[in-house]
Amino acid sequence: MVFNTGAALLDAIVLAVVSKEDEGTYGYKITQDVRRAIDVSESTLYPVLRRLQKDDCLIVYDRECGGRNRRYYRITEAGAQKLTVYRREWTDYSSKISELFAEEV
Amino acid sequence: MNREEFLRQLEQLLSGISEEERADAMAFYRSYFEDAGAENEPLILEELESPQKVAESIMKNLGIDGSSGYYNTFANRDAEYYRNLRESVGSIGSEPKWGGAARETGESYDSGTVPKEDASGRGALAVVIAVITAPLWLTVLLLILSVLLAVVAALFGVAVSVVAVMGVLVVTGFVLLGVGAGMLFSGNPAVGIGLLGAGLFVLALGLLAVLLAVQVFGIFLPWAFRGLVSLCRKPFHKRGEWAV
Repeated sequence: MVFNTGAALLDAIVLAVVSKEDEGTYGYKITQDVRRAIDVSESTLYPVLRRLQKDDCLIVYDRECGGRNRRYYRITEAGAQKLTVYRREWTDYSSKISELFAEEV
Repeated sequence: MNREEFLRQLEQLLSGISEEERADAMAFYRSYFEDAGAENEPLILEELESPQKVAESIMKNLGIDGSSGYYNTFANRDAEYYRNLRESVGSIGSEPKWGGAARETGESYDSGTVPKEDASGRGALAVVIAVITAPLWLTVLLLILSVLLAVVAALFGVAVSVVAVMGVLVVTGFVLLGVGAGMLFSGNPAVGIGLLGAGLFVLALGLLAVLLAVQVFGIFLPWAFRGLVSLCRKPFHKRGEWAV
């Protein structure tokens, strides 16, 4: 992709992906979901998840799955509020850019 | 390199960070490999490139290695913008404030104080120059005033003499008329008529002088005076009209 994905946008995308799963989701699936939208290297996502976890936007918990523990991520109330702000910012930002890009007829 | 080897190398590379951070990162990547399944293992190993690269991304996020905690794929200028965005997002509900604040300070710098200081400075400078050059312009002013006074005095003198001549002529005319009339009846009638003629002539001269004086003082002098006044005003009113 020619456009860089900044840290805030990556945070927003990860929050959006995690929020789609009420029961939470796990690292590998998050990575696959994010990579459907943007091209990021796999090593990029762990630091994002870790930081969001430290900011209390995500909580991590282990869940029994097929005889082993799987690390699950779930969005918190603070994370959901942050996502709302990100969504609003993105709507504003993307509509302005789209308006600029729109070809005059 | 297989999965176990990769994880072992990663753990060694992360020996510099805290136990908690290392355990969390190791748990994540161990789970990652497990969730991806054995069939995807070569693909993931290829994607992650090397334990070095993964360790680097983890440590950069922790602020180790001189980085500010953002990923090496992001330009520094982006990092600054997103730091601002993050701060505004942190205080949920409030509007982003960095743009407005910058604009306000910009305005307060541009308007008001600087032009005002400049104007008062110019005024003070004008006063200083006026004081310094006082000997020069005071002398010139006194010179002009004395000249004007001399002109007024001279005009007054002329006026007095003209009025005097006028008065003498008129009085002389009436006296000659009276003497002529007396001579006409009680003396030599020829001398009487001659004196009457002379009296009328002198009276006519006196009346002519009066008319001339009215012309001079009623029309010429006001014109000259107006001219003089507008000449004095000219330096103060650049568009001042000449009262000609």
